[in-house]
Order: sequence, then C-alpha cells, then structure tokens
Amino acid sequence: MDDKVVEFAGILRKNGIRVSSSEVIDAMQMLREISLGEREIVKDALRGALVKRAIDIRPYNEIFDLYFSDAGQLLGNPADDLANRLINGGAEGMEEFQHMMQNAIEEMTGELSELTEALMRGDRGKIDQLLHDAAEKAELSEIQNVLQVGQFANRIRQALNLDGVEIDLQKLQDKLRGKGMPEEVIEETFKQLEGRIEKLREAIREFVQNQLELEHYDDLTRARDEQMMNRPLYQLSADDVQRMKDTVQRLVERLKSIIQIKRKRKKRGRFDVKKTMRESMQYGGIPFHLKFQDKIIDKPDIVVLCDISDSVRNVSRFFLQFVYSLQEVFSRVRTFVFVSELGEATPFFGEFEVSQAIEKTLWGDVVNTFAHSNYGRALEMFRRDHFSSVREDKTYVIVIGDGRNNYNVANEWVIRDIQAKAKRVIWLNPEARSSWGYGDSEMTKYLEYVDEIHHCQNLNDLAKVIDELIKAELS
Amino acid sequence: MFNDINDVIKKLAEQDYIADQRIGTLVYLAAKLEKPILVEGPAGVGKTDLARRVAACLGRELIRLQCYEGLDESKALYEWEYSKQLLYTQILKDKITEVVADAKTLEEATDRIYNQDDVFFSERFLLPRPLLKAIESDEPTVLLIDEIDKADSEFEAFLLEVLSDFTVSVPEIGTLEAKHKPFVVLTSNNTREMSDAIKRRCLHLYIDFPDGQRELEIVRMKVPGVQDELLKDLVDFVQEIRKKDLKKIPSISETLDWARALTLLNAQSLGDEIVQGTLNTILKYEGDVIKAERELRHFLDRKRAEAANPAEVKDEKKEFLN
Repeated sequence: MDDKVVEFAGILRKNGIRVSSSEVIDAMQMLREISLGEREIVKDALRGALVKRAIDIRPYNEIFDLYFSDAGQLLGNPADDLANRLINGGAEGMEEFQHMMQNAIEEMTGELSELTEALMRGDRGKIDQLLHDAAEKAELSEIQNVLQVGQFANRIRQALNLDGVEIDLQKLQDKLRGKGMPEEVIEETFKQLEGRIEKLREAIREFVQNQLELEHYDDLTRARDEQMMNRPLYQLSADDVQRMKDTVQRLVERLKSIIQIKRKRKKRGRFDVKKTMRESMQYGGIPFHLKFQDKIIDKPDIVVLCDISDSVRNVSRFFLQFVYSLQEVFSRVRTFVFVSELGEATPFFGEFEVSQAIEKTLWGDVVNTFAHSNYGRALEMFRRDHFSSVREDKTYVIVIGDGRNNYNVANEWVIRDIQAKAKRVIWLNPEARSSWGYGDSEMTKYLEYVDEIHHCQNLNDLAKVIDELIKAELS
Repeated sequence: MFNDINDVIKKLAEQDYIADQRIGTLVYLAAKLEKPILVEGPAGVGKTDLARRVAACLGRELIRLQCYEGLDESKALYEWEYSKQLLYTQILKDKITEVVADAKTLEEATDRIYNQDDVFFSERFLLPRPLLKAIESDEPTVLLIDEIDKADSEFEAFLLEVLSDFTVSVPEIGTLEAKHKPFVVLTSNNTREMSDAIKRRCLHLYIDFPDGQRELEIVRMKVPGVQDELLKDLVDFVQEIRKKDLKKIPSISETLDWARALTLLNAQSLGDEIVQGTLNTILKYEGDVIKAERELRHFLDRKRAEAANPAEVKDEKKEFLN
C-alpha cells in the first residue's frame, strides 16, 4: 500500500497540490491504523494528511476517485452472490437444483477461472484486483490519447481472459444440463451471468478512460484554467464565471496579505516616553519595558470610476466583480459608475451580495444605463460632487473604461486635477492599444494625465495590474 | 483513548456532538498518531466545540489559547511575575541585608546575591500561560489553539517549535519537557491562509456545513422540544437557503438560534405569521432577509402543493433520483 500512497502523492503534486514527504509518511502511518476495506474512510484519512487547502479538496476528490477507481463498483451492484443464491436461496422445490448447482460447481473447482468464480459470487474486491493486475499486464499506464482507449480495453480483456469466461460458462451449462436441470432455470441463471459479463466489458472501457484522464488530468484542468485566463472576458460561460470569481478572490487575497506585511513592517514607530514611564510605575519606576508609539498607518484608499455603458458592459461585469472584492477587503474603497451620468455604487456593494449588486448596478439602479456614454459629463460630475473623496496624495484612483466618448467634450482637465491631487491614477482599458485615439476614442487625451495605463482584456492582464499595484505599494 | 472510529463517533455523541465519519476518522487518527489537528471551515460549524467535546470524551482538562493580533510569547507561553518578585525582595529586605552584611567588598556582596539568584528565578515566579500549562500538566490535556489565523505569522512560527517537540526552554531555568503530549486542536476561520510549515505538521480537517440529516440531529439534540414537523421544515429551509447567493450564509449556530426562537414563540409550523419576523435570527443583512422572506413563501407554496398532491410529487422525486 505504501507504494500506492507514494504514487498517489506524486499525482497530486503533478496537479498542483503541495504534498511534502512528511505528509506522505503521515498518510502511510494513518493507513496502518484503519481498515483499508472502507473506501470513504481511506479517502477521508488521506485527505486529512495530504490536502491542507480548502481549494484543493475538489481536485483531490476527483483524483482520488480516478486513482482508486473501484472497478468492481463500475459493475453496478452485483453484490448479491448469484452462486450462493442458487445454492441456498430460491423458492421451495428448488432444493434439487440447488443441490445440482453445488455439485456442478464443486466438481468443476479448478476448471473454472478465478474471474468466472468472482463473477458468479459477485465478489467485487476480487474482480477489482484481477482488473488491476490485468491493467498492469497490459501496460495501461502507457496510454497516451483517446484514440487508444479501444486498443487498451482490448488488451485488458485479453489479459483477463474474458473469452475464457464464456467457455467456462458454456461448460458449466453443459454440466448442469447433463445433470438434468430444467432448461428455463439454466437460461434464467445464465442470462444474469451474461449481463454481468457485459457490464464488465463496459467497466473495462470506463476503467481505461479513467486511467487516461488521470494521466492527463493535470493537462486537462490546467489547459482549462489557462484558456480561461487568456480568454477575452466577455466570452466566459457561467461555469467560467464561478472559476473567475475564485481567481479574483485569490488575487485579492494576495494583495491583502502583501499589504498586511507592509503594515507590519512599518508599525513600530518612535520611542514613547510617556507610555514607558506609565508602564514602569508598577516596578518602582524601573523601565522594564520600552514602549514605542504605533505608527499611524495609511490604509490604502481607492476610488474606482467604472464605465458601464453598452460598449464595455460585458467586461465591466468582471471589473465590478473585482471592485466588489476590493471593497470587501479594504475599508476605504469608493466605487463610482457612469454612462452619461455618474453615481456612487459603494453602498450598494456594501448591502447586497455580489451578483445582485452587479446586476442592480448594470440594470440602471445607480445611473441610467440606457444612455450613451459621455466621459466628459461624468468626469465633470465627479469633479463637482465627489472630488473630496480623493484624498491629498493618499488615494489611488482607478478608471476603468474604453474612453469612447461619442464625440462629446472630453474634459480631460478633470483627470489632470485628479492626478494632481491623488497618489496615482491608473487606467484600465479593455481595448487594444492600437485602437486608442481612433474614432470617438479620447484615450490619447486622457493618457497625458494618467500615471499608469494598462490594456486589460483578460484575467492575466488583471493579475499583472494587481502585481504592479502591489509593487508600487511596497516600494 | 479511542478504540476505533466508531468509538469516537459514539463517545462524541454521548457528549452531544454529532460527528460525521470524516470528523470521527480524523479525530481517531490524530489521537492515535499524536498529531495536532487543524480544523478549518466557515464560522459556526462547531470547530471550537469539537475540541471541547473531545476533551470531555477523554476526561481531560481543556486548555484554551485564544489567538488575536499581537499575541506574543509572554501571553501564550510564560511570563515572569515581576511584581511578585519585587514584592518578595521588598519583604525580604532584612534577610538580604543579612546576607550581604559582612561582605567586605562590593564584589563579594554581588557574588552572594548572585548565588541566591535561583530563588527569584524559579518556577515559583513563573506565571504559566496556556502553552506552558499544557506542557507542565501532570495529567494529559487537550490544548485548543483557537482562531490561529488571527495571530501574526511570527507567532505561528513560534508555535511550530512548541508543537514539534513539546519542550520549552526558559533561559533562567532550563528546558521544560512535556510529561504527556497534549491532544492539540487548532482552529482557523480562514481569514488568511496558514503557512505551509504549520499545515505540514498537522492533520487537516475541513468541516463544512452539515447535510440535512446531520443538521436535523444536531438541532434535535441541542434544542429539545421542537416538533418534528417544524424541525424538518426548518432544517430543509435552512439547507435550501444556504445554496442561495447570500451575503452571509447562516451556520449551525444560527439554525439553533432560530429553532430556539421558534420554540419560545410557540410556533407550530413555518407557515405561522410570527415566523416572518424571526428570519433575522439566521440572517444578518437586510438584503438577505428580504430574499429569504421571498424564498420562504416559495418554500411554503411548494410544501402545500406537496401536501395536496403527495403522490405526484413523490413520483417526480423518484424519477429524479433514478
């Protein structure tokens, strides 16, 4: 079993779950303490030793099921012992047949293959073991792609000698017939056995499929993740949205922890005479403890201006998602959204859960979303009503939008004012750089007064922006 | 100690704690392998309670260390009792004068005091904090380190040292070794990711919200006297509402609060008028409550339909299961 644990841990590692050697040893020790017969307990125990992060639980469960695929279980539930039933069970008057059956089986001991007996007894454990042995013989771990599934399934069938089982059954049938068992009983019995063999065939195929998935589980999921990271934000499906939520959450967590480190580092301030003296009173004035002032720490202050007009609506959903998470993590985030008018969405985000808040925002609960975007007007409104939300040299202002202004007045002077007052102005634009300044895009005008500008079209871009934010914050 | 996994589950049940198989397995293994167990999961699923009940099962004392930001060694491990030391020197002034009375030089006097050092830096003046208490205890104990995620990462590193060999070195006294390895339970609410080092040393148990059956048993046990019909509906409803997109998902403790509130109000079923006003016992945000009220109406409608035409609904369910 130890080899199995080592191999299993290897597969987990391949899939990005961190497993250390000491944890593998724990797992081995654990398995000595419990009965291996109960799959669920083994699963729980291994999970306790090997999986330490909540996000790894889902992949772990999947990999466990693939790796320790209970091939017997694939057979469905043939737990009832057919041979036994024939021998002991059955209606009255069947005693005769039972006797016959028992005799026949006894006489044929040694003649029937292990698999035949296991099938008759419905011994899933045995079938499972035989299947794994056969898989090893067929070198199943070499499987490369889907096209080989049939081929490998065939090899396993041969290794199992499935054809031999049919011959065995034929022999048994003949024997019973020779003993004078009625035809309909024989037929009934063997129909069931045939059914089991059929199921076993399916199970073998599924088993091979599992193995293939296991070998390439890593590639599959990673490919999926990577694809999503690079896919334009407006092409994501509902499932992707969930994953995207997780990803954003992780990004935000990272941002948060780094900022905490920074706060910690800066915390200890000047020597505090008053506090030290007060503290030393109980020791007769001897300063046992030196006390320092806590430095006042600036919490990051973020103001977000997010365009939610039609042209960027699908993207802004994701940006809003990001902003929502920001607002949950940091205490000082104010979110403004605009199309033609500008409104504050902060209280909304505080009150409602995320999808509802975003839905409400996008459907016009904050500002009229059926207008045409007008950056100039929105900026002017911000300057007039909310300029005080930008604190002198303390606030990061993040503008999200494509800068397409429908040929209205650009009012870039507002951005200039903001830049003069804020710590940094960051603009995230979902449009490619090459199209800035063309048509009704006023990006070139705004660019002048922006400290950082990012073309931000997918999650990867967003991640990069966050990394840079962190760097700026730390330096 | 425990005999096997079922024994754990049984003994915990005797202590009014309904454990599922996973909890049982991990507690059993942690006890058997003498490893600390790190319990994570959403707030209010009974992480702290688990430690308490395990202590009760084993008949051990529970020593609890509540973590918070700024918690340091002196609060967690030990502290010298300065004031007591000072008091003693004051009281024993005469004696000290006597000791140094016939010393000829300052150096000799210092030496004599130095020789008496041990008196003032002995365990007598050591104020044991939870960790040292657990190590020093004559009886085996259960050590609960609660909400470890609230402590700083430096403290986490320090904890590692203690958890790995259960010895503490006090410079003035020497190394104190644990007489019995305590059963250690750490809990975390996941406000931050714990360091890999600490995770490596612990077995990991993730407790999620319970399934309907387990929650039913828990409520029945903790809030006796809820009528079966109401109890079932209540749990079903909470289970359902957890799947909804809420700002704060109700946990077991909230289910229990609600059950208590409904018993106090003498509610007979979820359809009662008074129930509407009690939803804020399980939900903490206005938006959530509004949503839940709507959900409750749907829930009751569905139930009524079920009651009116049980056969049909049952068939549907069956089909779904197949």
